[in-house]
Amino acid sequence: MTEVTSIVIGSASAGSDAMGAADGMSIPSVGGLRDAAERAASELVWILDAAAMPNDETLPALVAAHGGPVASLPLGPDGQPFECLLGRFTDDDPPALVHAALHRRIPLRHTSVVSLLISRATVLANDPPDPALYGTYAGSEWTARVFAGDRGELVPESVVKVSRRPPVPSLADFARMSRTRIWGRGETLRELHRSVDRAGVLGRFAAARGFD
Amino acid sequence: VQRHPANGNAPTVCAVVVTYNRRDLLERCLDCLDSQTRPPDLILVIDNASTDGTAEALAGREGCEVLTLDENLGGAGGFEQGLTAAYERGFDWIWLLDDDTFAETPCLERLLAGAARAPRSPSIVSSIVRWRDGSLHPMNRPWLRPNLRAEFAQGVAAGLLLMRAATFVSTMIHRRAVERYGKPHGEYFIWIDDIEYTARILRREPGYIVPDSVAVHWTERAYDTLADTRGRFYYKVRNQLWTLRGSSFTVSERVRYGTTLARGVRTYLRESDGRGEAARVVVRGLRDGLGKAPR
Repeated sequence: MTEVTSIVIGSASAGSDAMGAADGMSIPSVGGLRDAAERAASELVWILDAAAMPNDETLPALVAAHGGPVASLPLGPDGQPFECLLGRFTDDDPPALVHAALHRRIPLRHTSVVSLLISRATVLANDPPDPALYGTYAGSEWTARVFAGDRGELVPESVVKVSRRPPVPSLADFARMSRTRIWGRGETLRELHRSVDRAGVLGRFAAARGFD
Repeated sequence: VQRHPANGNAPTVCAVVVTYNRRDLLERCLDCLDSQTRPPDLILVIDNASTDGTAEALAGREGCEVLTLDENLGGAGGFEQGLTAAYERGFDWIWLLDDDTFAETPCLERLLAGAARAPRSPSIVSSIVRWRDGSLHPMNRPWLRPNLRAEFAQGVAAGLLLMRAATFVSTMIHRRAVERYGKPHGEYFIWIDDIEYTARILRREPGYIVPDSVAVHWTERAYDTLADTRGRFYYKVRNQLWTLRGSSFTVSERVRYGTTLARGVRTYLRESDGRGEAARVVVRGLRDGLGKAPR
């Protein structure tokens, strides 16, 4: 298999034990990604959240799909995709969506960094994520910048199980992220709702009245 | 139910083709259906009272049945009649095609394979519709549902695209959906009947585009309902208003769809040569669209 260095974000877990990667290292937060990539010996790095549990096929499926950055499908404990970790699809380009679907992939505008295979050179060519500024959105903000130059794709065949719910973003994180103009209007409203409506009351009200 | 001998106990499919005075295109459309790797169990042609020798051409053709209407009910009326006839004869799937649709040879086989591997049993499956040059046809661009991100990703994992609506250019409706949601509205005459009907079903049911199932929509130009100015814009305005008032869309979708209609009207008025006549078309469409709508 292609040589890959795994970079685990957060405290290492049983699931992140390098899973077929040639080499591995651990960093406390996404902010250290660039430094970690500098130390990596391989062309490709696999960035893995410590809460993500890959299986035997996760990395091979990413490697097989790699042409640019490729992300795994994060699944919750119930086996269903974790929607808030999926990021946003490039949904304004139907021909690209159709073409990617033929290869069972989805073009991404941005995504949370849960399981991402990316070239070391791409990590080094971009400013690192800034968790101090964007909090839980740091990965999304970073991938939006990276994917703008090097198209990222979701590979649903490659899955990771995520053992805990992602932290709810704070209003301050939301405010700073919304100023980046990465989000569209609908997305901004959804994220505002997510950061305000922690108990999900508004969501249930809206769904009952036909809003989506 | 009538079965093609080659299909064994597989789900039955009735191809419904609606035609009006386009004999040559129809014959080519039927040739494409005849050459399918998985043939439909019945080909049912709805002849909208054509006067160009279509009846004579069909009389000499084996393997298809013809339902000749007394008058031209438009594409919408034709599809309503055809879907009703196919449903009443017990077919599992009803494959709807315009007479200028040329289905590639594995088109139906791949539609059925897509339906079989779908993560949720679909009520509708649809082909990718291309124009002559291979680009996506603007009239039939896929209306996808990427906002349901989890379900969309599960669809792509199966090589399918979760969709919100489809046009009657190589789209299959399952009989279960006809039972639950009724038939398309023939009163639309042309345009938007397919969007209204499929969106009505897919508001609550899953439907997928099968990207390796391809049909070619053989129009002269790669036009859409806005670029086609053959005096038919009236139907677009009226039928979109009817659709907005119906049950096909959620509140937020209605806002977006209404905005699209308003933009379309503005573009039509701006780009029409005779602005007075164009304004009269729009006013007539608005008036009738706000009048009695089909139920």
